[in-house]
Amino acid sequence: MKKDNLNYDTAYAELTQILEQLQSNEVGLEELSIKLQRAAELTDFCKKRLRDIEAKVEKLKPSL
Amino acid sequence: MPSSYSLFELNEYIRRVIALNFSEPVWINCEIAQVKEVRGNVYLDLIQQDDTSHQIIAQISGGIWYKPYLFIKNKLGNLLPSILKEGAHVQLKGMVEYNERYGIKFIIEDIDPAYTIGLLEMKKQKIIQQLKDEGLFDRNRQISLPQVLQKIAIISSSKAAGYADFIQHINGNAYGYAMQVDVFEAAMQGQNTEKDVCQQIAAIGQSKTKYDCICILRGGGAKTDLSAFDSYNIGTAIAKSKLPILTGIGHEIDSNVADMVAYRSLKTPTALADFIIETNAIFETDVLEVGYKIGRLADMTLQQNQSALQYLGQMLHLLPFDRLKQENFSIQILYKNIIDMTQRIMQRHDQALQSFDVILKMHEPATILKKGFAIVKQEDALIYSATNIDGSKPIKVLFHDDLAIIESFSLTKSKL
Repeated sequence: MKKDNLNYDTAYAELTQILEQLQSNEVGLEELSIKLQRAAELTDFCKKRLRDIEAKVEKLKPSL
Repeated sequence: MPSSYSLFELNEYIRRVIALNFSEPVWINCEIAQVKEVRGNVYLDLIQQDDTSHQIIAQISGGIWYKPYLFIKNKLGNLLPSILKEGAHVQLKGMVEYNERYGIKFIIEDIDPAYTIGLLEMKKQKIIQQLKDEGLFDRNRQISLPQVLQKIAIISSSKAAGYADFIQHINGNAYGYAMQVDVFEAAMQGQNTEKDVCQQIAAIGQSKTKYDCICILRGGGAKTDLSAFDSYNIGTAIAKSKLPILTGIGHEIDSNVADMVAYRSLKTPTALADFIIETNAIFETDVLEVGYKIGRLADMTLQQNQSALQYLGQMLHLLPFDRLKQENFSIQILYKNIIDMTQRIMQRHDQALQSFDVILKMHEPATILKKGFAIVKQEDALIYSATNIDGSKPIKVLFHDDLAIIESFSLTKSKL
């Protein structure tokens, strides 16, 4: 999994790109499993980022 | 009649002539030039002035003896000082008496107060009209009374009971207000009243102390002469004063010119003190009310801001979670779409492979032979056309399930 410059937004954008490529038949059959594996990694990454952000937001709750 | 008379004879003759012609009392209209009370008797100088030149055109000594004076005092009551005074125009009933030694004298038996009052009223109305014509009548009332009366200039006699009442009320006010009260001495009755009051109004106006108002105080004791305040000069001085003037001249029924022109007229010095205290109390109440309103508004504003902040805080706390939920949902949808799309691609490829298989099967020789086709061979070579058949050699015909060898045959070739 590529880690360079990866954040939630770039990961989400790449996921969207993979979906578009699949929808437009740009992906060959041999490449399909690679794309699917990448999509799974990106999805896991995005979910982890969401959990991290949620935890941070929870800690930042103001005492009103 | 002898050719000459003694002085006594002359005067006795005059007395008889007068007595003969003035056997009854007569009413006269005149002005009192001088008046003096001595041991219960009153001695007066009565005069008449020319209306235009004001020169004395008639004069006579007058007297009110003890008993008639008692009668007149009872009749006039409190009005007596304002009628029996120097400068007063009066209507008197009396006998003209002549004494050989002391000369002629008008012995007064009665006074008609209505005449004097009428004249005074006429004079007062004339002054009022003049002040109105000159635009002075309402001028002092057009000044704004300060909301707080703390520096007060008093025009009065510090020995007057009214002044003492006023000071007592001011100093003993229930609110504990501290006020600077300065007295400017002035005669409050008699001939000097007009001059003193006018001078002190001017002096207060020029004073270094910036007073909030001027109070003219009188009253207390017996009701005495008020006509001094029916003065054009006092009215003008009050009207032109830069400070609001309050009067407590001490009367119950009629107003005088000073009262009418003043910013505010109270019946007594005590009432005037109450008015000042009340004015300050109203201001204090207003200030307290404003303070209370400011406090309430501040509380309301704080509460509103606190509520808004709380709401904002809650929203700020909730919105990220909403967004995170949305993102999570979005990721799940996206990944599901990718999975679906992958499956669809796989299915598509699978279907394509299945199609290839069907086509391949369709092209298998056995499949074709079952449909009634046969393979023709001659010497193990496939015969694709009748042209290539050699009629001298045997041919093999392969069916889907068996083989026929044809040894001899008659060959005829024709085009389809």
